Amino acid sequence: MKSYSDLQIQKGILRNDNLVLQYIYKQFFYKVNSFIKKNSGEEEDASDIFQEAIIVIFRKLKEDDSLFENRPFQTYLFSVCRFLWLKQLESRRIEKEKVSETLPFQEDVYDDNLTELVLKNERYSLYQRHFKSLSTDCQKIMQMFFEKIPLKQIAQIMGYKSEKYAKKRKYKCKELLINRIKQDADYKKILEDDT
Amino acid sequence: MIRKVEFLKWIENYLSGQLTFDQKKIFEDELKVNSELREEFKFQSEIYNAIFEDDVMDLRETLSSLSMAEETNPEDKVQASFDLIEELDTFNQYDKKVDPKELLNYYDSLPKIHVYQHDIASKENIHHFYNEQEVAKVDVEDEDSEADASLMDEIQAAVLEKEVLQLRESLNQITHSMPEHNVSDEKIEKYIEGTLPENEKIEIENEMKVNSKLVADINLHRNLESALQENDVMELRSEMDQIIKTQTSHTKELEDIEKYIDNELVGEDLKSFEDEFYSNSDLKSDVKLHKDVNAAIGERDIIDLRDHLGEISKDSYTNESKSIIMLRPNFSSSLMKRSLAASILIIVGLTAMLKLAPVNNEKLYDKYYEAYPSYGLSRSASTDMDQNLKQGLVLFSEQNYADALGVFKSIIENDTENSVARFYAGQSYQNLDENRNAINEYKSVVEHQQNLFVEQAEWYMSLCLIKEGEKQMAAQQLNKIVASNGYYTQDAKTLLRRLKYSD
Repeated sequence: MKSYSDLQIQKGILRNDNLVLQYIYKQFFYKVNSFIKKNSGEEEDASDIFQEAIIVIFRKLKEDDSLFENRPFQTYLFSVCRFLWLKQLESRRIEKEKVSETLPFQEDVYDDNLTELVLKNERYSLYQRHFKSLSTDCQKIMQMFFEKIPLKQIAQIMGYKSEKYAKKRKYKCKELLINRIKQDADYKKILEDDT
Repeated sequence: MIRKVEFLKWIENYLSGQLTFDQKKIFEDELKVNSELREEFKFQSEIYNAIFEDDVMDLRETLSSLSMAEETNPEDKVQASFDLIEELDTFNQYDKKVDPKELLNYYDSLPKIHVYQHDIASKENIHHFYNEQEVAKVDVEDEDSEADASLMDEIQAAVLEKEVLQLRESLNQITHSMPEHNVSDEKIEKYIEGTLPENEKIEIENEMKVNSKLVADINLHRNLESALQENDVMELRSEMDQIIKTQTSHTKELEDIEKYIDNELVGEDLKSFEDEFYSNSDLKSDVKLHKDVNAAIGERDIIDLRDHLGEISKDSYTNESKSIIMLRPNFSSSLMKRSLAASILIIVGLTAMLKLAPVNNEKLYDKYYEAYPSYGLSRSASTDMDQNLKQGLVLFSEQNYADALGVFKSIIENDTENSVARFYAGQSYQNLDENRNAINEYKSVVEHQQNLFVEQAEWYMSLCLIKEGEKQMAAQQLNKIVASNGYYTQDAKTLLRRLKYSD
């Protein structure tokens, strides 16, 4: 297998390069997996945490592209995974003092910025998950709306008779989405975390 | 058409049976066509049921069992001269008081529920109770045994600590599932857009000051838009998803796995492999897969084949996917050179030939096509491989294709999944110039996937297609081979180019 430098990894993540992502997965996931399994987690938790860690890093990279100049990618990844898992343990009310540390991590990764980013990521991924659960029509119409495509055109593309109907459809979709989000137990948890 | 703002009222009246016949019909018709109403109705009736069946029933049951308990101890009743019992009596009234209809009347308005709770709370003031208890104790000492007093204490404590708490919790739950404000989504949206009339805007802002839930909802609306425009993140997530679903995670190359299985790893390499092996289930399962594949082929076969391949340089067969393509190395030496030479010859004459009549096409094909060597033969010599297959391969290597085909066919009849037989049946057909049949055999080899002949079958299939004059399909097939980046990729590219030019 080809190996990648941190810079290549950084660029790979930013452009969703499948090969780089595969490489990251092959190289690092099993360690995260064994860390989580040792600390009251399941295989599924590990996949979720790993995936979200990559996305947190992606968000972070968009803010700050010198991220891997001071520390290796591997350390950063493991630190984020550990952070996410500890947070998860907390919300499951599992004692995190007894964590068996099998991952190398750096304490200074855990700053306010990361905490904030992780919270934002949690919120956004919840919204996105529910968005993806809408019908494709709904997704399409909302996306177009957000992209500020004129209503008239939206109505045309979707084959609706009138702009008014397009607007109504869009409103219904959004309402459905909001309701689903609000009924999600995770959303309630997020609200509690915020306050 | 029932307006959205009136949903609650209609549903409520419907559930509590307060609609006239006509109204009921209107409501039910609306329910059929209005999905939104349907959702709301489902939700409301669940609440309704919850209130009816669970909480209240529970409460009623516990309360009645409580009064039963009281009755089974008639002495208590008789000596109910002290305040405690009176307290209980007033408590008994609560099972009437928590009439579901009454609850429903409260439930559309949040403040009312709060008031209601406060009402209950004030009536069962624990502080009061203890005061009264003090008095009671004095009474008890005067008039009755201590045992009875402690029983009463217990009853009291149970009443106050369990049932009331339970009721409170149920009510709390209802409160939580109720909308925390009455500002509609539409209004919120208009508020964010800034298209709301001034007076309504002020109203909302005033409400926001005291209602954190409204603030949260408005933030939700605001965030939603930017969250849904994050296409890049969504794509990244689905890509990761795919990878996690389809890949295994370990740092070892196929080569290392093979070496590990063959006990060829030593020293540091072995240690690092084993370290990972014991902590990484993915690596474990990959090693198992390799072992299984080897077992499927037959260890002895491999050893024989390896001996047979003795002269071949190590490089060519330790590359990426050694174990999967055991059959290749033979090709990689002399045969490959020959076939490359053949393809060069073909390139020279291909354009012209392809343009000519199919007869010439066949000539091209004849040059290009070489019967696939029956490796099985050398492998089978020292194994207990299926006798039939062995016989077939012997016939095949003697170029007695018709008889060989008969044998392969009989094997397939008993074992439709036997890809070795299918592949060589295809080969036999091809040699007998029955290309259509050959293509069918190759197809089933390719579709079966779990075998060692997929690449070969794809390649020979494309040759058959050329011979049948199906240039377009052949091109498709060749493109697939090119994309797979396998052993025949280079040949396929060449042939494809020639095919294109010949159009």
